[in-house]
Amino acid sequence: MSERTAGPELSRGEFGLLILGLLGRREMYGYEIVAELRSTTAGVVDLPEGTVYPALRRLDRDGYVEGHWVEMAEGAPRRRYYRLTQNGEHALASGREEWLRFKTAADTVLGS
Amino acid sequence: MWGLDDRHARQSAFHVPMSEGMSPGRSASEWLLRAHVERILSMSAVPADDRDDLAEELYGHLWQRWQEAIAAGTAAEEAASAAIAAFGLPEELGPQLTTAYHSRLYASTIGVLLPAITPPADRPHGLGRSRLLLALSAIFQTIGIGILLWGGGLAPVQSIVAFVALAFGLAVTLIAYRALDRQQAWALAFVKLLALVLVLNAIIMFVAKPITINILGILAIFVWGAAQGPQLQAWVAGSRPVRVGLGLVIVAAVGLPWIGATAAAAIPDPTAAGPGDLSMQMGVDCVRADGLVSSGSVVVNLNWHRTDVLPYGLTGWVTGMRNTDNLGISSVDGLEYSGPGFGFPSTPQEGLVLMSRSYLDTVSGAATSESVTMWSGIPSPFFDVGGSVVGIDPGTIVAGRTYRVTYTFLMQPSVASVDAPVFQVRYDHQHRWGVEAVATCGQTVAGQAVTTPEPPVTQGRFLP
Repeated sequence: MSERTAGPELSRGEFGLLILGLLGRREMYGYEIVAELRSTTAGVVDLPEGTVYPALRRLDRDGYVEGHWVEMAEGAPRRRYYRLTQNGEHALASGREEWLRFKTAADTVLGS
Repeated sequence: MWGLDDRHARQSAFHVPMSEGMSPGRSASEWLLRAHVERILSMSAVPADDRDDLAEELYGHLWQRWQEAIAAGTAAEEAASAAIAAFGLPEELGPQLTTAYHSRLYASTIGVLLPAITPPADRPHGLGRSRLLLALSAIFQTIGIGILLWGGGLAPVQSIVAFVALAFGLAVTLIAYRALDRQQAWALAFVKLLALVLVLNAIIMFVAKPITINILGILAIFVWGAAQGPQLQAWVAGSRPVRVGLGLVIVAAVGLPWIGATAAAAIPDPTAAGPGDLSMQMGVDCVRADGLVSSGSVVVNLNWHRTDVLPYGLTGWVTGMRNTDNLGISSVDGLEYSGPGFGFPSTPQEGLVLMSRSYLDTVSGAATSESVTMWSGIPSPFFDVGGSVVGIDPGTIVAGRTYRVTYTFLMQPSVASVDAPVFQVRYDHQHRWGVEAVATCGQTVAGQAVTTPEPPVTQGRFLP
């Protein structure tokens, strides 16, 4: 088991935005999202793996993503892949813009 | 540090009931993974129509993690434990799932009490009768709310307090009915306390009146026995233990419906007039012939200093029912009018005969035939107001005015030996309180408050 990095906690909205960001690249299923988050962020974002599912359900409920099942080889459980909806694409675009504005402001304050 | 050790994982699995897909025939590791999923779901309130999909999705995640660890050379059971540890604690993931599906308010209240798990088929001994007790208790509480709403008897603020107490008890009872089916320890604790109270109540009732048969009490005895048994204890062992806060809620939910209505009646209600707000004066004038009373009149003056904000109470406001106040008269010394009907008998009657009555607003002069009052009052469940009841519409009463009721009576020769008849007049206000006065010839007396219900008077009265 890997050590989780101590640091600023992700808010629910930020975590959702990260998931939207990943799904903006391609369809993914839960396990893949967790693995992708970990590798893309070099382990900086390393939450308990199960937390991705409440976040996915919330995004699904809000109409930002939609899931569909994909059958796997004999003996392996099916996988539920998620993709962005049109609303999700809009939410991702505005969320990204908001984040960049925040990042710029934070960089200015922190002097980077 | 995150993580679940093997002991925790095994304990989770051990407490999850066997259901389809969790038979011992599967590998122990897969069973651990499925048990972890069940435990997460048991701590969440996931809608039933999405539960299976979510369970499959979570299991698929754990399964893939487990498979990859095995492929990397980890032993199967160790790989399962690692997958479970990395996935997260059920105590944290369950509530997160609940908030993902429901509002924050639901998630923090009902969702905590009522997680949506699928009950297994092998139900423990005593579960059915425990739920039956809850169902019957809910029915009786619903009847209690109905009586409160339709029967009146409480001032508005008192009604609201009593209603809240009963509704709170009913709501928790109904949730407990569902929650017990979903293996919640708090629901079993609620059943135990409810059964205990019902048994004690049945014993008290039996001691007071040995012929009383209390169905709920008898059922509660059986439920109490079953609730202590190992099967029901094991049934709820996987859920959260009952802590102090929830324990207090359980005690309140059991106790409030019992004491709510009684305690509410003692609360001063600023929106309602009390017996001190009604002045009653009663005077009796007698006409004598040859030294004996032959006829006379009883005059009652009613003056309100303050009237109710809601003249017909909360019940009338909610339901539209308009109960009248009731004023009645009776002869205290048992002289009974037994003639056919009220009014002016066509044939001479024996005894003390009430000849006429009138009800008058002394300011407007409005008489009984106008909207000030109705002639037909209804018997009071609060206390027996006597015969010849005048129903007075409380919605027409104006504070500060005097309303006068006048009765005339006739003494027949057969009772002429009675030196002077003694009359009692009683006023019942919305079955909440009353004022009464007793007087005989030549007296003028003030009414006294009656706040405690009394058994009916059986002595002489005038029939309406």
